[in-house]
Amino acid sequence: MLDTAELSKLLEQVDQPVAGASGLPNALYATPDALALERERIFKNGWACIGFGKDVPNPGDARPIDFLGMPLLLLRDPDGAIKVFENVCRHRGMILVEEPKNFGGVIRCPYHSWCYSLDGALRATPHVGGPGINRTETIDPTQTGLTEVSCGVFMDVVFVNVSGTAMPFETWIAPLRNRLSDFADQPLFAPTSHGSFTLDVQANWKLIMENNCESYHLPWVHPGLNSYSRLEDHYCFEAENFSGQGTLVYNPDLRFPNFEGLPSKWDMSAEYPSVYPNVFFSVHRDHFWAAHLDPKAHDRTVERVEIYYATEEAATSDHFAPLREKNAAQWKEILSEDIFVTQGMQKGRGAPGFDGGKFSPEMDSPTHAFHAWVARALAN
Amino acid sequence: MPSTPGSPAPLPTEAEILDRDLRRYHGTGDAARLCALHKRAAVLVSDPCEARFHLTHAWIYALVLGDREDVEGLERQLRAAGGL
Ligand code: FES
Ligand SMILES: [Fe+2]
Repeated sequence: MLDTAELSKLLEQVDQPVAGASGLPNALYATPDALALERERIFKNGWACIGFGKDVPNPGDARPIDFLGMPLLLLRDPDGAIKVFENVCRHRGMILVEEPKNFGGVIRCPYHSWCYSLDGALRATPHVGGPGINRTETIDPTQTGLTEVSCGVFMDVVFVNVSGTAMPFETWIAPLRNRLSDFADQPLFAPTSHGSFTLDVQANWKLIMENNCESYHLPWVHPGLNSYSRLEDHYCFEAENFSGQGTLVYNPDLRFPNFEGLPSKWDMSAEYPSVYPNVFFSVHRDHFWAAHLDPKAHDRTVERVEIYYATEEAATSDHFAPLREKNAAQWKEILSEDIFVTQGMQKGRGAPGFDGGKFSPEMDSPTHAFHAWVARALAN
Repeated sequence: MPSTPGSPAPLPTEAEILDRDLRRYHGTGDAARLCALHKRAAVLVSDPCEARFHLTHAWIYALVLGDREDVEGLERQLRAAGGL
């Protein structure tokens, strides 16, 4: 059981200047209660990633999503806009959509066939007033549509705020939009092959975020990457809802067409902001990827990576297919190299004497920024 | 009437065929076929309540198909029958 009084005391020690701060306590990694608390205070109350616009490429496409036990429906409406609803019928609470599919007409509940338009409106209630009588005084269709969930899309990454109480999406995303302004409105092309991969990691979701925040581990964990990306060539950055690292010597062997109109600073730079709570971005002059962390349990996270290119040709042509395959394989290898550390830290959280650890003010500041953000979110 | 041994079984009626087809396609999600079968059933049955029942089902499958013209036609019929 999570001792909440004890937890609040420990969280106070986390939200301190980096040099004297403790890391988040073991209990937040090692108990199912912790994930239940985070579900309420972090994932429900704030903005969090649930997937990608490319999951529903065409009007009428719908995809069920299990968001920490909350059934959601990601949908592309007839005008091409992304919408998210609770994936549950307003009648008796039946799950509406079990498999990804395209809806040319309404969404029919498989139980008593109440039907919903793609804008969530209740469109039909068959036999609700008795056999063949399809309306009743007591059920007002205008008040009985699907429950819409606030959502926002940035660089094809879909975010939701389930509680509806967070700040407006555009306000929340503004610092990241600002940081990635050279990429934010670029057209992104999802590959027809080798565009994604998934890693199933036996570790708490926060450990994966934390590891991605810093470049301190590069020479030890990613020696291959370090050969073109030395520790000295990295820099850190922090904002209110993300932190991360960048490199000044991005110069891969694989050559794809660049995004248009980029300032020259991107010729050799790349950046990796970890956007709290559960997605990290990776921008380069010629491609972009995002990794969505889906917490399945306190000690298990599914990490899903989606890659995008700057031109349709790079994303879809046979000519670029071997390069896309190599690029995806390289990133998969790098992110797989991180698994032993995130899983190792998960095991380490079982040590009763581990007090959350210490931070290097020089190297761990972005990780500490994430810890402090978690501490503040849980304290609220 | 039970058939006499040796004599050929009587041909099934259209209602029996429809009933069999409705059962057969029930679980297939074939909305177009189910819509058509229920429309035919609505014409075939003599009881207006039963007809309204079938019109309702035809209407739902037309909605699923997103066939606006068909939906409008069925809604007109349902309104006239007191179903909407
Ligand atoms: S639960 Fe959906 S129609 Fe009854
Ligand atoms: Fe790493």
